[in-house]
Amino acid sequence: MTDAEILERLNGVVSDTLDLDTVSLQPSTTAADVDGWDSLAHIQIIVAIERSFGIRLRVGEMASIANVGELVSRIATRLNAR
Amino acid sequence: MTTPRNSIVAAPGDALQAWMAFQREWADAYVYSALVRLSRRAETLSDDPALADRLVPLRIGVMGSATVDFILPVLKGALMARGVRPTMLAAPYGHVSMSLLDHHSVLAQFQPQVTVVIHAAPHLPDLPELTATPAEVQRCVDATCEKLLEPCGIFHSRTGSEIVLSNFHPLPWRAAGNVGARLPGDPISFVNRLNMALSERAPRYVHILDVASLANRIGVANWFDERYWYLAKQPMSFNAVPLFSRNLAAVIGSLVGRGRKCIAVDLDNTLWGGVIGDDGLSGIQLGEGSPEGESFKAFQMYLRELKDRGILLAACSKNDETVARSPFLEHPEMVLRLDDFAAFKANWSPKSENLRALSAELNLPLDAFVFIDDNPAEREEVARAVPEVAVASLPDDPAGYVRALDGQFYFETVALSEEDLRRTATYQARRQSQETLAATTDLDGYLASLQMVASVDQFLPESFERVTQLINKTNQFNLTTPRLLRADVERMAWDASMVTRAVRLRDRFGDHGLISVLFGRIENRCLLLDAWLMSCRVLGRGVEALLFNDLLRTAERAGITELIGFYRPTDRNAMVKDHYGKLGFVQEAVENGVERWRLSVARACPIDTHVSVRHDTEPAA
Repeated sequence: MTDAEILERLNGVVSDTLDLDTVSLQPSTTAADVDGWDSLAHIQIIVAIERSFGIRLRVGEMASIANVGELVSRIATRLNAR
Repeated sequence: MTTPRNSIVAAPGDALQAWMAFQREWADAYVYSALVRLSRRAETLSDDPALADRLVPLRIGVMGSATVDFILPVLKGALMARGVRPTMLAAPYGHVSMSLLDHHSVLAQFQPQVTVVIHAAPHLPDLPELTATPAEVQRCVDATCEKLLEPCGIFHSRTGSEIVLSNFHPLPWRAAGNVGARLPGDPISFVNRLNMALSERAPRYVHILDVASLANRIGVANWFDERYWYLAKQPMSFNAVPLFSRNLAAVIGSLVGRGRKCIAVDLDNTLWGGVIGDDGLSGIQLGEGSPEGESFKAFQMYLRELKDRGILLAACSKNDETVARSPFLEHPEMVLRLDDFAAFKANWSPKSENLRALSAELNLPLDAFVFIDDNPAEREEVARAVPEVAVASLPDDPAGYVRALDGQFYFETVALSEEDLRRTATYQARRQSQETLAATTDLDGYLASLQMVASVDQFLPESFERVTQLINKTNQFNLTTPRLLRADVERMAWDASMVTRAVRLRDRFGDHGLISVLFGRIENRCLLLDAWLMSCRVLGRGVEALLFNDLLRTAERAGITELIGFYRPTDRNAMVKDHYGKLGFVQEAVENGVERWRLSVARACPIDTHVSVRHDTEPAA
C-alpha cells in the first residue's frame, strides 16, 4: 500500500470516527486542524485505524502525533512488518 | 475544512417509528464507533415530546479509578435503548473517594439518583504479598472492602443515590503459575476472594456490577488491553465497551423498573427441532442422541432457570392446540412442563394477536414481553405490529440460543424478592380463579367464594424491596405513575407526616403477596394522595374499597377532614381515570394535566367489600 493509498483510507477512517462529512487530510495536517480531534477522539481514531488496516500499533506509536504524515508512516511501518 | 453531518431529525408523528428503528439498530450493532453514532442520533430523537412517556429521566453520576469518558456515549445510547433518558455527569478521573465524601464535590452538587463507580483491575489497592498467610490476605480483603464500600455508604446516606459498583476481573497473567491457585496471596486468588467478599458485604443500595463474569464472556485477554491502560488509563478495551455498557444499562434500567417480565416463546424449532405437527413425537429432535437435540434441551433448561427466578413463560405457537401440548405430556426428554407456563397460546392467528391476547390474559403491558422465535418472518411480523414487545435476535443455530438470549440482558433485577420466586404459581392460581369465575354466574357469590384475606401495613423494612418494585412496574392501575428508588420508599416510611400503605392479599387459591401501594402526605388536616397503585393480578377483587375504608378510618383517627386525590393520565392508565369519581370524590381542578379530586371525610361512607382484613396488622397512624 502506498502512502497516498494509506492517506486516502485514513481520510475515511477519520471522517467516520469524528462523524464529519468531509475531511481532507494532508501530511502536514495536525490534530488541532480537525474539528473534534481531541485526546479522546485520538484514541478512537487509533482503534479505528487498527481495525481498518488490520494492524496493531505499538504502545509508543499510539500516543499523540506531530502530524498526519507521521501517522501515515507509522501505519506503513506496521503494514510492512506483517 | 470540515462540515458536520446533517443530524437526522424525525418529522412530527414519526418520532415513535424513528425511535423503534433506533432500538432495533442498537440491538444489532456491536462496533464502538457505530454505537456512538446511533447514540447521538437517539439523543436528538429523545427531545421529541411524543417520547416523553416512554423515557424515564434519570440523573446518573459516573466515575472511576480509571478513565470513563470513552464509555459515556455508548452507555448513553444503551440507556436510551432501555427506556431511560440520562443526564450524566462524569466526575474527574481518579477522585472516587473525594467525590463521594466531599459535600461540595461536583458529584455531590449534581445530586445523582444513581452513581456508577468503575474500578480498574490494575489499580487494585492493598495487594497482599504472594506468600502472605491466609490471615494477612483476609486483612487485605477486609481493608479493601472497607475502602470501597465505606465512601458509598456515606454518599448514599447523604444523597439517597443508589450505587452501582464494579468488581474486579483477574488479570490475564500469573507469575505463580498453577500453584497460584493454592496461594491466597496470589493476585488472581486475591481478586476472587475480594469479589466474593464485596458481594456478601455490599449493602442493599450498592449494586455490584460483576465485571469479573462479564469479562469472562469475551475472555479477559480480549476485555483488557494493556496498551490502552498505559496510554489513557482505560479500564477496558474498546471491544469491551458495548458489552459493558449494555450490561450496566440493564442494571440501571432495573433500578427504575425497565426489566422485562415475561417470555413469549415459539415451540417448533425453538423448543425442539422439527415440526411436531409434521414430524410427530418420535420425529422431533430433543435431548440426548443428536447435537441439535442437546442444544434444544439446553435451551429449555435455561428457560426453566429463568422461570425459577420469576420470569413468566408463555407459549406462543402456530399449531393445533392438542398437537402443541402433546410433547409436554408425552416426550420423555422434555424439560419444560405445562405447569411451567403461565399461559399457553397455540392457534393459527398472527403471533402479534396472540401477544396482545397474552398481555390481556396475564395483565402485563406489552413492553413487559420478550418474544422468542426461530423464524425471522414471525419476528418481523411481531416487531412491526407490536413494537413495544422486545424481539430477541436468535442465531439460526440452536446451539447459540442460550448465549444469544442471555447476552441481551432483558431480565436484570435489582434483587429477587419472594414474590419473584413464587410468581408462576401465583399466575396459575389466578387462572384457576378465572375459571371459577367463568363457572359462577353471580359476581358477588364468586368474590365471596374466594375467601380473600388482606393485611394493610405501613411501609415496613421487610417490604421496601417489593414496594419499590411494585411502584416502578405498575403502569395500568396507577393514578400518578411515580418512579421511585428504594431510598425514597425508605424515607417515606420514616416520615411522620406521610401516610404509607402496603396491602397483601391471600385467597383460597394462593398467596398474591404485596399487591397494592398507596402513599400521601398530611397538610393542614388534608391527606394528599400522591400515589395509589395496584397490581392488575387482583383487579376487580375489591382491594380498592378495602384501602378506601382504611383511609377513612385513618382520617378519623388523625383528625383529617379532606382527602385529595390526583390523577395524572398516561397512555397506559386510562382504566383508573374515574377511580376517585367512583369513590365519591369530586373533581375540582386540572393543573399541568394532573386532575385534582376532593372528598370531605364527613360525607364519605365505607364501601362494601368481600376482602376481610387481618385486624392484628392494622397500621396505627
